[in-house]
Amino acid sequence: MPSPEPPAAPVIPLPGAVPPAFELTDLVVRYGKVRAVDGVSVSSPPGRVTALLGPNGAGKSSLLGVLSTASRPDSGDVRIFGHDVREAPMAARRRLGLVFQERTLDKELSVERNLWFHARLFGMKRADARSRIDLLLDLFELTDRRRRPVEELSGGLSRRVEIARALLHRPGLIILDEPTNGLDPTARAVVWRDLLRLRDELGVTVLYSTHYMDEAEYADEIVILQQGRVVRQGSLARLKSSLDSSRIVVSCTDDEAAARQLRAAGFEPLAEPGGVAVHCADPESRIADVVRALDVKGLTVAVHHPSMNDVYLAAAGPQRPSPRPERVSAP
Amino acid sequence: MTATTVGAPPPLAAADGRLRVALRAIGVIAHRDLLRQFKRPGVLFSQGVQILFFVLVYAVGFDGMIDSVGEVPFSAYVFPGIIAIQVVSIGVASGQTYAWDREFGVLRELLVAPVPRICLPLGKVVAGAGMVTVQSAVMLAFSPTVGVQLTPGRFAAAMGCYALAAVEFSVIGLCLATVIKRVQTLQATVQLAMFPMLFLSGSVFSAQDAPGWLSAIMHVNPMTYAVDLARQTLLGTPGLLPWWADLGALCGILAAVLTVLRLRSGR
Repeated sequence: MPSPEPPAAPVIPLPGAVPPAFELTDLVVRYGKVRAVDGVSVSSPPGRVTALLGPNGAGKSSLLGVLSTASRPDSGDVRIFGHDVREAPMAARRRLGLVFQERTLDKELSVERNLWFHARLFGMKRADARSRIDLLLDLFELTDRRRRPVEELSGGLSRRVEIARALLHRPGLIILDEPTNGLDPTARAVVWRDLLRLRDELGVTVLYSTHYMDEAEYADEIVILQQGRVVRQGSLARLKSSLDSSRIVVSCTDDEAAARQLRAAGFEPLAEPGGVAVHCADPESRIADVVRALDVKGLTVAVHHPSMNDVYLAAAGPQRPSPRPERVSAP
Repeated sequence: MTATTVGAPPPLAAADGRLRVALRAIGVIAHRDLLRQFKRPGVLFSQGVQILFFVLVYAVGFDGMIDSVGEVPFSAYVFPGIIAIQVVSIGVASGQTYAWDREFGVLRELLVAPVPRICLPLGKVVAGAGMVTVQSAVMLAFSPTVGVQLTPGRFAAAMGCYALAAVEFSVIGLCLATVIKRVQTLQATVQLAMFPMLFLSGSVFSAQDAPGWLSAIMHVNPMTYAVDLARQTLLGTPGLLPWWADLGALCGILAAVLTVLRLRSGR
């Protein structure tokens, strides 16, 4: 019979304080001698979107496995809305909606049946389950497919069913492990449209892992893991600015003359393939000064900002690449 | 989407008692498994054919070759064991649905539901054992054709015996599925274990007539007690052990394997 779980751990926030949607403190997950997650501390207040990046084997899935209560941490503290996943896993599970990397729908059953069994397992009353299923099928534009077996759906539609299922029991935190893995660009766009609605319209806390850098840019907070440790963490803007590689690149028929003129105007030009670079934190505000300082033929000026891909590769890649330029025509 | 309709705090039945939550979860898992079984009519049909095959070939066919075992016609003697073979083989195989759920990822979703984890295998036990118990009732309908005089009392006692065996061997199958992670390895292990277990259980020959070493092996086979109890309840003849000893052995083994399953299931 059921294991005796102590009553849900008392969550007693300070007056006016809301517990974080999730909170990892010094999390360690080991597989034998390998530390898949090695002292990670990350948290998010409710209503934020957090992206988890990192190469294969960085510890993303292990971290999400612990947060989802599917596996237990070796050490460290893991809380979902204040509920300790070791002490009160069931209280934590009630606040969680999960979309796994692999498909976890029962392919033989219909869309509606899959949602129904999920609702009942999460303790929803029959009438509530029925109305929620109707609502979510409508929201995810699945109503006309409700009686179709899942095995007849495309990958994108199956994903939407899984997201609808994860929202069925009104979780406060939804965790998605590579939600668009294996989907075509159109299906990816639809999935992200749905996920952004969660953030913008519902205030649901979202935590997702991804290998697509463009998807990471949807997040309020980005966490990059490497060998089980957090190597970068912050907002997209903060991560890009921390890279310190925004610059104005000037190319012309005589790069040496351009460098001389820039130096005379107080800049510190550096030679780089394709021209002369002036590093600055806010290239857009300095571009006019740079152009005014130059009197050369065949002038082209480009502003280079680091992309999310550059941020990622600088943190977790084998070597730092040269950023991709955004070309701006000279005035 | 509006926050009030989609993002409101969960008005779940969190206040439900732990037992009620567990029973509901077991019911949901069992319902799901039964629904899946009914979506595979081919499997049910093949199991039905297997029942018919066992009754006709083993019981009736061998009756012409072997006259009787003691005072009991051979067909009647082996009939309780034939039903037990069906119960045990399908019961143990029900553990494989757990392995397939794990293989296809369905299990992951179930393991993070806010229910005690032991409910998941128990739901499968209810579905698997329930189905095979119904099948054993169908097989019992053939009793008159093999010379077994079935009374309501014997029918009820035999059904209880087969239900207990079905539960026990479903739990054994699930224990194996929680220990052996690969489906192919599990299937091979089950096949390897099933053949000696089915035939060294006294289902088709008596342990009393077997050589001492073989009889000793048969006594460590849990199925032996199920066959012996079923034979005593259906035929009313004395068995290898007194009926209460068979029942005690079956209950003891069930308690042991349930403990293993509980430990393997986690929280």
